[in-house]
Amino acid sequence: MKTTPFYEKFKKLGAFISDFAGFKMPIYISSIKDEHFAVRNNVGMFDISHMAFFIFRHPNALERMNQVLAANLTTKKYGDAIYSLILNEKLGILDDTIVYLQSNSEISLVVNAANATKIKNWFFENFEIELERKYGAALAVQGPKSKDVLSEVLSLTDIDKLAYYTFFEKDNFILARTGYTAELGYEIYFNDQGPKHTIALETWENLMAIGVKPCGLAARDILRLEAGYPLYSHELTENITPFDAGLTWTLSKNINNQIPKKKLVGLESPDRRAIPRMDDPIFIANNKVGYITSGSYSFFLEKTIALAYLDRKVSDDFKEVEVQIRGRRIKFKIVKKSFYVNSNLRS
Amino acid sequence: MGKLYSKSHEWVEKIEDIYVVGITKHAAKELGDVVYIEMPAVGDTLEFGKSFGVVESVKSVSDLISPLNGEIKEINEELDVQPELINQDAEAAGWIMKVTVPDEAVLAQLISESEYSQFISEE
Repeated sequence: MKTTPFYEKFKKLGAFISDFAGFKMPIYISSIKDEHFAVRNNVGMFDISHMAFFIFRHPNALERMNQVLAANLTTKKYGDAIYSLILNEKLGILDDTIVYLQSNSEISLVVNAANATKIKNWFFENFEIELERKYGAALAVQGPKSKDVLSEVLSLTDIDKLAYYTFFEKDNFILARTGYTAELGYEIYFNDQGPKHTIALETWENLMAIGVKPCGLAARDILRLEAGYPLYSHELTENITPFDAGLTWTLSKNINNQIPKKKLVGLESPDRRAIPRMDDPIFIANNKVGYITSGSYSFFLEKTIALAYLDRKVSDDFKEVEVQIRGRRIKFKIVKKSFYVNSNLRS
Repeated sequence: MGKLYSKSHEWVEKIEDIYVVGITKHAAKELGDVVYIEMPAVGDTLEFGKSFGVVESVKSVSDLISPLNGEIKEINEELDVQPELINQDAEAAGWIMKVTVPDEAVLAQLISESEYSQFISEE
């Protein structure tokens, strides 16, 4: 089992630590609820060093990378970060990724930790692209106060220039205005500083000192669920296409539009006594019409929320379904998958 | 008698002639923030090793497994309004139910606090 550069920090804080995609990661530090609220109302930080950060260096990196990804990189600028999908020949989703366009000859992409080997092999076997994995420290600092704390701790005078989904490179790190919480937020990918990770660990200490709450994977999961953001192995799998997942907007290539058979929707209920979990079946009368991909209770929104795939016709024609939870049928309202909308996110 | 523990992460404590049952601090930590506890009713019969309810947390759901045979005399109604008592104080204020146990022989299947600590460190 691998650890990240921040592992000892979490251990010292008494975090609840569990195995996640081959890494010992904090699930939560003090309380999932407090961490969740800190990000919505103030600022929190997450260790994201476990995510696979790949670099592709090649004289024609942009052109080569453009062959693999579902997004059209040629319409983008250097300094842009792009959410994209990596698709197989059947348009099944191999992974979702954020691509960082550094220059014509250098492009980085961050993929899910659990998919690192699969993606590296996919690029090499199908496109002869050799991705180089960087094992550095990385932090996501998310929440309405994230800009203030980062400009202070990293002594940045130009952070205001950083628009949503752009990044810049400094001597010791890449700073990107990206994240997966639907709050103002940034991700810092520190350059490899050898085994000591001095700058990354100092940054962590300085952020802690000004009140940034360390957060774990459980808070990250509820934050992304509230935003309706898909998570690989839940909403996204190799059997799901971008058309099913409502991610058609990420495709800017000549990929033929398909009429999807199912649709990713939100389900909600004011009742906290039955929380849908992954794979719980969904019914209308006695017909199974879908299945749950993620579910939880949101203390912030004060309701039970879930993401689910519903048969297309049902999602268009019905307003309510029943989810079978531990043998009981519970009514849920069909809603848009973004339970939480932050209108300032892009400003 | 001190507290006794089950390998399914419940604790039992005899206070006068009634047995108080709850889930362990370790189990509460594993669950994360508790949202709801589905509890049995007063008068229900418990059977060792059988589910008597569930606990829902933000991140998962777990069965509550009975650590003894007996009859429920009281449930902690406070948990309905304050499920967070499980996270704050699982082995005292977060107790779940009080039970009468006609045959104490079943308690022989439970383990001591030190045995439980050993068990969770190996789990």
